[in-house]
Amino acid sequence: MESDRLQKLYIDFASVVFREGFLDNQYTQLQQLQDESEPKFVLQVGTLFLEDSGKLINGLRSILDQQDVDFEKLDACVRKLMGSSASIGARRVKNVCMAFHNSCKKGSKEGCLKCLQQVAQEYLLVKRKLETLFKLETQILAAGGSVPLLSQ
Amino acid sequence: MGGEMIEDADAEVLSSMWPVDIGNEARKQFNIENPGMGRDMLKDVTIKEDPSVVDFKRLLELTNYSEKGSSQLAYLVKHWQYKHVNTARLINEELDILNKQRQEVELKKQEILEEHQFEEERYTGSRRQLSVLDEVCDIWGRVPKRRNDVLAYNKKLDIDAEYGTVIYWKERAIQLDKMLEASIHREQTLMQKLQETIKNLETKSSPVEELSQILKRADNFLHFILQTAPVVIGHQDKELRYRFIYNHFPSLEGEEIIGKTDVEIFDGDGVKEIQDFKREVLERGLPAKREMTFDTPLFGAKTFLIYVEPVFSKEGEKIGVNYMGMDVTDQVAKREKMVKLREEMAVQKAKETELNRTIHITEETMRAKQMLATMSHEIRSPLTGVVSMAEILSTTKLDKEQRHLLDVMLSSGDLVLQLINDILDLSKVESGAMKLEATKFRPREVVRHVLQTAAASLKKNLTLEGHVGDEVPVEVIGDVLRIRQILTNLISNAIKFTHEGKVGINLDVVSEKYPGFREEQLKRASLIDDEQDNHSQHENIVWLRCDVYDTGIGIPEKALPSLFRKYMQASADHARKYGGTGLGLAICKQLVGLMGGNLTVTSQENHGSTFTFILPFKVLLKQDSGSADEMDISDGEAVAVSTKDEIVGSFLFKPRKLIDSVVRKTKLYRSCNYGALGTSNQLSEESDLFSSNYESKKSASPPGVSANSDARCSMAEAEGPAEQNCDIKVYGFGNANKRDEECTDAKQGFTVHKFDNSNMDHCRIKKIDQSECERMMSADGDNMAISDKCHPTCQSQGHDKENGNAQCLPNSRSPKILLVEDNKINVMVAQTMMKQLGHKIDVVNNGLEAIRALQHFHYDLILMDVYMPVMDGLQATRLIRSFEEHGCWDASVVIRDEHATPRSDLSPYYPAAGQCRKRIPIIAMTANAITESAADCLASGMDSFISKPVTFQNLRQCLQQYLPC
Repeated sequence: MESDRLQKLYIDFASVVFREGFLDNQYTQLQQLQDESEPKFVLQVGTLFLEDSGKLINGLRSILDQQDVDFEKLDACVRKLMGSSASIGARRVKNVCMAFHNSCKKGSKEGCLKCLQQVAQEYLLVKRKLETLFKLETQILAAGGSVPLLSQ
Repeated sequence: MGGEMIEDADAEVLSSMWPVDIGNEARKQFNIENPGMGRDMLKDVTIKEDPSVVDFKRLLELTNYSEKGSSQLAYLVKHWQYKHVNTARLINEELDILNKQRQEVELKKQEILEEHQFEEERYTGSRRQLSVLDEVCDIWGRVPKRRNDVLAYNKKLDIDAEYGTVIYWKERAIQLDKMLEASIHREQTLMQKLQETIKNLETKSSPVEELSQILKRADNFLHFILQTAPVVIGHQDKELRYRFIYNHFPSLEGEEIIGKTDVEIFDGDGVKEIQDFKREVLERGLPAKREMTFDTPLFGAKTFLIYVEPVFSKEGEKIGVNYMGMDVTDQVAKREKMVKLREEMAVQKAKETELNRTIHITEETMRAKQMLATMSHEIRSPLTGVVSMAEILSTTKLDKEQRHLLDVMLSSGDLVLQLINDILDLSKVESGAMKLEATKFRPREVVRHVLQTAAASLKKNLTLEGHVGDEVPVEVIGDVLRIRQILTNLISNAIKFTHEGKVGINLDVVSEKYPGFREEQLKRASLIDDEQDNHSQHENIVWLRCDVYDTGIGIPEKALPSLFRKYMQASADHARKYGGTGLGLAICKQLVGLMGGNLTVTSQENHGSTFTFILPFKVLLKQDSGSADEMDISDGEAVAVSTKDEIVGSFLFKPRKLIDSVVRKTKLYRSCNYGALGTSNQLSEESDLFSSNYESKKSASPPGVSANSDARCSMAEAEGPAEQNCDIKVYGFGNANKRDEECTDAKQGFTVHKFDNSNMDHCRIKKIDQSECERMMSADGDNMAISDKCHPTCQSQGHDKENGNAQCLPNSRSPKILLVEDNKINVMVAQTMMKQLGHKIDVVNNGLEAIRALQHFHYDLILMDVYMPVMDGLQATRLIRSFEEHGCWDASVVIRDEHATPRSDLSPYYPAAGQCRKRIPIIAMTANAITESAADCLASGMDSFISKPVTFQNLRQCLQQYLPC
């Protein structure tokens, strides 16, 4: 059956994503929140996260481009990104954010730039994974199956 | 020339030993009469001039008989002899020389005479002058030259006349004559001198005089040395009677000492010892040193270094002892002081080391505990995941075996969670991080609620009862959460170990002060906020005694001592049989101690146990509560009802099976949604005990109105005189917690419940569906957003209230929760989770908006992000707490608020102080749940914290804890 195949594909792909630490349990939690009343919850949150994070990273970049870096402002953005990524379960983004936060506290522009690069990279990676997952989810739903619950 | 030599010899002999006479001052110390200068000492000795002062005879005997004395004398004599022999020898030598010289001179003279005769002959015959002269000259050369000055005689004859002439010879003869004369003269002088010397020798140099001189010098020397030395020198005979004493501290006259023993002279400490010591030395025949301490009336407490040596006669018999003592009192004192200091230093050092070790150990322990706490925290998060997954799983379709397995899994998971929570609690108390709150609460409500909760999950056929004494104040101040924790712990313990009978709580006032009462403990316990001190004049302390009793298996006596220890249970057997971590009682004990009380236990095996704790609480005086009354005095009915509520002091919960059946039959009961999601029959009360007059009152008025009045009375938190009105043994609702009394009675129960379900959405103050949420997000921190949204609803609420309209009642059915969070993703997640948990929440974006929302609405729980723009969670919490305490908002917030919402119809409506003054639980949502940030949260007045990201389980736990209905 098509949905079975898709489900298996989904599980395989998701387990890789989990194993490589792009996503963690929090994502599972979100999945559990998804039910008949909120059938597209994960998709909505995920999309919101990706949009929001993209903007945030651009914001970070523009702050760091300036001659005098406003570390407080930078830190506020980093915290926001950290909070979002934690909520969605994007672990690797969150981890980089923690390092970023520390660099902000130290006021190290060099460290911040490095972290920005990393966070942008991680963001792109997790974006690709999430988009793939969402695509699969949509396909599964379209095929009449239900999105399998993930566990680590 | 001989004289010079004699003097030299003299000097050589006597030069070394003694200094020259140094005068005779300060001789009094010697008890020997000083023989005057130049007096013959030995003469004195024989005369025995001063027998009383010194036993001279004895001294003489001593010098004669004692080995030391005789050797000394012998030495002196020998010395003298040697000197004289030497002198004699030198003189004889000199004599020999002189004699020889004289002989030679005479020989010469004869030769010269012969020569002269011969000359006269020569005059006629041969001439041999030169050879004669040569010979003459040679004569001097043959004289032994002892000294250079002898050469003086060799000087050449200086004759002016021509050699060989008569004049020459005549001159020469004359000169030689002169020389001869001079020589003879010198000889005579020498002879004279010799005679004189011999005479002198005979008169002056008698050995006695030499000796006495020496002795005198010795005497002087000793005086010189000893005149100020703090020494005592003495000699005692073999009976240890003093024969001689020199004392620098002459406190006794000589007569009192000589001939007596120590014991006869002194009394006091140390006297006998020194006597014994001397005797010992005498007996052993070996000198010895010892330090002795005296304490005699004569010279006080003194320490002497004593040296005692035995004195032997020539025959080797012991004839006495010499002893020398030096006062070393000061030195000993110093030394002892030093020793003491050193000891103290050593002790100090040891203490320091010990302390360091203790500190080290403590640090290690703290670290270990911290580690444990951290670990526990780390374990808790994934574990909650496991348990919550299992819970979710249990809601799915399962067969019987799967369900059974799942049940085991769930109960084990819960157990581990419980254990970890216990560990965290304990480490919190032990590390001092546990902060006690000081909030108003109603003890009756607490007791009732604890029993209710216990009854709700009761699986045994047990009766739960509670009794609160009439004199227990309606409201006291303390940490209600912790007290509830203690009570819950004790009750669940009691239930665990009780199989039949009853379990109950008694709460009474202790009239006399609790014996172990300690002021500072109380201070620490109840005056957490310094600000509270300001109110202290309006407050009294009341000691409440709480007994939690059961009719269970009891505790064996030998297990009692270790009962409150960590990880201890009465026995391993119990642990197996009943499970549990063994931490519960330890936590209770610690918590009670922290609050300034004491937890004790009495028990009888197989008959039950009673745990008792006594705690101090502050009570508001009447005038305070009176003013609280006034605020809502207009609502007469509410006050009347509430007064009845307050004094209910007895609660009874029969086994549930029974109730259930009653409930089903009669359908006349009051249901309360004490259970998690308001299932109406989860907890019920006995219908037969339902107060008739209460019921009638309820039924007399329309349901909506009565419910409303209930609600209002709860808001008012009114307090009235304690009126006994109690045939109501069971009272299912109270007003400490707003929701409690809004869990309505039976008649309305179902209606309201239904109403709630159907009308909830209309009645929500703010309903946030997905789209609205997103719209709000896009507003992105717009301050106005929330107030705009709030405004109309708020108005309507106020309107409802005025009309006594029951429309807004259903709001009270489910608790109102405010989420303060700026991150829209987090908001979305939290919201959805809450929705799944059956709650809808209001969302604001920062601390300031939260305060605005609070200014208009009442909330039962606030979930507060810590880090937010505009105003962070900590500050917002502080402001909220400050408002709760003082009843007015911080000026900055109010002004800003009025700027933001200048509508006249809104501003006047500030919630009744009584309503908002209730402490709203505020839960922090922290990005990192490490202790520091947690401490910040608690310090700012937050009740607890959830670490982000929020999980289903976290939220559920939090709601269960802070929304107890």
